[in-house]
Amino acid sequence: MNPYELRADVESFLYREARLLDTQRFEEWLDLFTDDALYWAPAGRDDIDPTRHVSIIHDDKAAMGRRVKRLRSGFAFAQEPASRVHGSSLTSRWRRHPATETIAKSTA
Amino acid sequence: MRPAIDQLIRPGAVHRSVYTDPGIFDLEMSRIFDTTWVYLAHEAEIPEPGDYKTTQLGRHPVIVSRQPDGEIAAVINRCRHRGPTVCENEFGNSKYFRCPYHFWTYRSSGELIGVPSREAYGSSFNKETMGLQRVARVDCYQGFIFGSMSQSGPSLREHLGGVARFLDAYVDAAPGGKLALFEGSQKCVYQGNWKLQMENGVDPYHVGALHISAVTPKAMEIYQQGGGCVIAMDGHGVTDHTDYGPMPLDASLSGGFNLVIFPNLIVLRSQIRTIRPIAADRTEIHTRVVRLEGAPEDVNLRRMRDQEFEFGAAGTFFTDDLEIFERTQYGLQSSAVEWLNFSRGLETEQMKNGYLTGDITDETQHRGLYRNWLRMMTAEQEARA
Repeated sequence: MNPYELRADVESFLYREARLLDTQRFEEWLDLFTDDALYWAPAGRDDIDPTRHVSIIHDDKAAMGRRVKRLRSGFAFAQEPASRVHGSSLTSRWRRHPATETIAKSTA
Repeated sequence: MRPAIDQLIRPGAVHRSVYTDPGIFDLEMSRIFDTTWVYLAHEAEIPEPGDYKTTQLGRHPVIVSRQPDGEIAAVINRCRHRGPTVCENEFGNSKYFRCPYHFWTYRSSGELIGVPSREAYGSSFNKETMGLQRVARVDCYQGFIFGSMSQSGPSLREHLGGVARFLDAYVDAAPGGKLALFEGSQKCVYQGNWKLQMENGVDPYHVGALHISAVTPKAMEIYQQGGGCVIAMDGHGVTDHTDYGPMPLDASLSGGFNLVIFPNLIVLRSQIRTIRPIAADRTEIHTRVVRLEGAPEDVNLRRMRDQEFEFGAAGTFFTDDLEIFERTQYGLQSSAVEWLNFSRGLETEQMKNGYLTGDITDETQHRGLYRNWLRMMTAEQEARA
């Protein structure tokens, strides 16, 4: 993949992820993540050590799944009716790691 | 027109203006928060000399600090010259606070030590009387630091009454006999009265309803077994599951207790929650997560991860609590219905061990909190320092 193709690939992934959340396709959204995924929203600052400092969200994939299940339960009252959300990606940066990895950073 | 203050609380009902009336809120700030003991900080937040924390005592911005001799001082965070706060950091370490406006400088104990071009004030200027105002009384129980704006009144130990025994048990759950805190706090704000969070901190009745999507089967089992009780304890509220088991190391919902220490402290599983009333319809909640000294690191980490998942600002329990606080505040704007119902267990509650006690889904503990509220709101006002 050349750099232009890589950029298009990364950006379309980020847009797809936001779109799935915006349209409440939570199960498909969950499927985007590998089993060792970590969904982390640091609290206060973004340079914290999450084993010593509280976070807003620090979910492994099982916890992410439990959130999806709860949202689908019909009893998640803070989301009854559901929030209308609109994801946006302001910037994205990425670099290719040796071998097969690509690291992407996006500011939303 | 709202009823007179002494008419706002009935044996099984509370008038809606207790939550909605800005005039009532003003009176709460002066008659409750300016007289009783208010939770300020935990000792683990300011362990070393010079450590400080800024917080709020009712409407007063406050700096709580550890002095060189290890004592704790609490001063009003308000420059004696023109009134700005002299410290904006939430936490830090400093011997001095300098107001950025005209550089008046104070020791962390409050003493005024520097005034630029002081001679212009003339000979009558007395530096001794121009220090940061001290919080009248500061005291500590089991690491929990409280302040009182009133020189007189019950001691902290008298104020805590029977809940002191529960704080003892909370600390005793730590194998090392001491509480520590994970770094950082979770903060959120809701458009609702402060007492909604106070009630909710000791409200087992709602767990199987509002939290049905979040509660674990094991926790539901405890509630359905019908054990436990709710207690009106010396003006504070307790939900007690210790018949099922003591406060568990991992803070899971399997035994233990919740405490609402009137007016602003909630001790609930792994959390120390502080209620900050901002206005009749606006409240901030600050939560610290407790680490147990001497507990295995993986157990402590599990306490934090579970707390974030369930009770953090994005938690599966807490988001629905916040939702219901805001819905309640909105509903209470209606004058078509004047009273909230608090009558569960009114006819069956009994005195046990010296305290009015109800079944686990009763509202005995809420009635106790509101009797305390009414007592303070209607008490003869003492002269204050």
